[in-house]
Amino acid sequence: MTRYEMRSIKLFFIIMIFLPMFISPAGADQKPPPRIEPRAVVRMMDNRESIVLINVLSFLECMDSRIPASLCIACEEKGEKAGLLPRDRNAKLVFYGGNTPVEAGCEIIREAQRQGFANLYILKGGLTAWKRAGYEVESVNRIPRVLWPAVKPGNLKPWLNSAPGALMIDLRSPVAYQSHHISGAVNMPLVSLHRTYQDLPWDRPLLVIDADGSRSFLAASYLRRKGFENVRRLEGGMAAWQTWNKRGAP
Amino acid sequence: MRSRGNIGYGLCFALIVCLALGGIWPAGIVQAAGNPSEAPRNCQSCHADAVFKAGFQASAHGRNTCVSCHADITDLRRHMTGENKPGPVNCGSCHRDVASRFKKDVHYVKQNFQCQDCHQDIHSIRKSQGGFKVAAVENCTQCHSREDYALLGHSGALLKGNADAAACTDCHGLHNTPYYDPSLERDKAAARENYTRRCRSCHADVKMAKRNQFSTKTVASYDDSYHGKVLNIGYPQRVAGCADCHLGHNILPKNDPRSAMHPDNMKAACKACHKGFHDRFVSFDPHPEPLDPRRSLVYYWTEVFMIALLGGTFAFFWLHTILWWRRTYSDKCREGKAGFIEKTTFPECREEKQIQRFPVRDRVMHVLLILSFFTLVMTGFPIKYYDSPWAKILINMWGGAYRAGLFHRIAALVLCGLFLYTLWLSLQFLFPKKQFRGSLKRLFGPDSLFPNFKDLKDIIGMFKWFFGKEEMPKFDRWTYWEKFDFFAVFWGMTAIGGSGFMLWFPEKFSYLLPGWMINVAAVVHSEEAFLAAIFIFTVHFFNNHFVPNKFPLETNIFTGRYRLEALRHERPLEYERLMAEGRLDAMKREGPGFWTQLFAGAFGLASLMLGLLLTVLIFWAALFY
Repeated sequence: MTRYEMRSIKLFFIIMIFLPMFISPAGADQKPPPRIEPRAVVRMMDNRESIVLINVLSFLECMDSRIPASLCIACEEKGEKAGLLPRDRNAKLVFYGGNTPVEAGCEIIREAQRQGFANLYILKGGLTAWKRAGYEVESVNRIPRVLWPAVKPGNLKPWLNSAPGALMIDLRSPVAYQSHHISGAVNMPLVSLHRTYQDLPWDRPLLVIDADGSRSFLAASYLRRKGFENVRRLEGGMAAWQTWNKRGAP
Repeated sequence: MRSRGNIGYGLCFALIVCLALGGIWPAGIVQAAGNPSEAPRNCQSCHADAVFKAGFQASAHGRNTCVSCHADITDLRRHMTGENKPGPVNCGSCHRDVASRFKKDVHYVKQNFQCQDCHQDIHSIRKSQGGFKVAAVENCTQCHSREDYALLGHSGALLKGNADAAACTDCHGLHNTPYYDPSLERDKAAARENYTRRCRSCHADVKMAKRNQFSTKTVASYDDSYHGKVLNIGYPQRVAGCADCHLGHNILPKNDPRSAMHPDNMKAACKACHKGFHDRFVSFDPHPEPLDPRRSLVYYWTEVFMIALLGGTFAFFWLHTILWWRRTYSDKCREGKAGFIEKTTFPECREEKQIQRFPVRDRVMHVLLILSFFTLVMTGFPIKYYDSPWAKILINMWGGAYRAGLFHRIAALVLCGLFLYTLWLSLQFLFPKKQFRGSLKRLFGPDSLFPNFKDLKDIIGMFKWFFGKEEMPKFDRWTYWEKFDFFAVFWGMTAIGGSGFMLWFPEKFSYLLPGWMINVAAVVHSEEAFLAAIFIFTVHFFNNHFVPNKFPLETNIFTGRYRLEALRHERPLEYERLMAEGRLDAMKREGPGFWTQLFAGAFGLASLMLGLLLTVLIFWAALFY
């Protein structure tokens, strides 16, 4: 090996070591937006400030229940719906989710930051806090709930045995699904369930699974309304499943 | 012409009909739809299912009209052509109270439930045959499976016919089921407080207890436990409520292997809060009844011993105090009648030289002792008497129960430090420069705080003096009541300090002692605290400050100085000893400076006032709560 080749190899390794410093994920240096209380949002509305509320839950959830006049842009929908963001870059954008906090990696928030919106906020406590504070919500296309008992993590195996051919549907994002999921579950994110549900087998029992049990009720009700007759949900979602696996009890 | 006229009449008639149809029809629809039985051609001619006919008429809403609820249907033709679709029904227009409460209900807040989601049989809804409670369980178990939530325990008993047993709604509320975010500490605390209160509402009900053969002592004993007291004082964040141990659903008797309280499952129940304990930890009794020997002989005899200790100590010293006061008072009356002018204590000594009685070290130690003792009393007694009116006020003065607990532990450590330092000084006194020879002489000598035979003679002599049989005994450096004070602190520190550390680190102590010793520690800590506080605030205060020749304050523990004349009168044996040994001159000092006197007066009087106030509060709570 010539001296020149040796140098080239050394240089290559040096570049490879320092490269990650320069190609860190876009927006990683941007701070997450500050959290804002529901009453502060209402005050902004009362003051007729330029404010846009953005529901980052799935389309189904947003249509079912949202703060009046909100936009429905799910976290994962940056490419498709980024055009819905207002043109006024000084407008105040308030993002909100449901029970769980809006994820740090929410793509639509990053997209808004990239587009140069200066006044971004996350509604503290999401839609739940909004409702708890006594403020109104609107239902554009509400999904009537279908009452059906959930399956507890401890009863999952017996249920699977009693329902041959049952299909477990993991409603979480592909990233969450890849990090861990129940063996045998297929990934069908809730964000696109209204488009993909027709791919599901009509004649098999279904079990919907979400992160913490707070979103699967609506998904199960939606599927039942769409004609799937045997739809159950995992109580407490993956969080309860993991707890049960650790402790041996839910 | 005639035909024209007929045509004109016809047109007019047609116009009137049209107007009637156009104007009166909608009103007629609404009116007719208003009573389905009277207008079968309108709503029910299309909505012909049985549920809209007989089912609706027999339902709880049967006296209402269709448009009472579907108020947005105002045009039948548009409704029939699908242009005027009914919107969501606003049940709140009649059920205002329910609608208002439901805005806070977890089913609405978290899952966006509406009335019709649970009341899907709204067109035929009627009172349940089995009663409201059974109906509630039936409704809730549509989602919350009967096997997991209502098969056994309360709801199981209800479904078997016990109307006293709790339905879902008795604990969770109806239309106002609160939402608690498990990620928020304040929500977890609120949930614990709420559900514990709900359990108490039935389990403290004497009539219900009698009917169902359970004991209301369960609630009382929980309230008297550490868990209950801390929860009741307003700090449920760190202590167990009912559901933490018994779990929320399918609650079974503890002899049932499925019960969370079954001995095999107790460890898991404790583990929910406590970490790193030995298996014997689970023998702790969360519902102790110390006065019931059938439950535990150990608690019973501990309680009996502590009561006897309190009774004996107070009986002796309060009698001692009363007799002392009576004797001194009668002496003064006699002197007054004999014409003696009342004089202040040793006025001729005011300007005289004084002696050094306490070094700076002892004075600082006593100030620290006072501060730590008051902190312990003011942070501990609100927990002991959690239901007294002043308990929460006092706790809030510390900034809440958490901070009060923090101060309690800091003060305990200060007191432990003082205790250990005093122990070190005592050893140095007994074995100066590691000399063991003469230690027994020093132990029972006049400079020692250890009781000796002369103290017994002094006690007898003092009682004889109370009744005028003898002169007051001549004391040496330490009187018997001062020696008792000193040893009471040693005993108290062992009892309170030891039990306090057990309550502070119960899991660690389970490696040394069984869990039931925590119950014993709780009894000892509580009763000994009462003994210490009341003894100091009554007996110690009287013996050292309120005795008439010292009233209102003896400052020598703060100034360190003792008047020579007082020494000669109050401790003649010491005075004579010091004179004989030629040590008195070396002990003579100038009187205390202005700032020392000011501090001694202000701090001493403030401590006395605070002690008396706390005595009143403690007796108030002990007697009436």
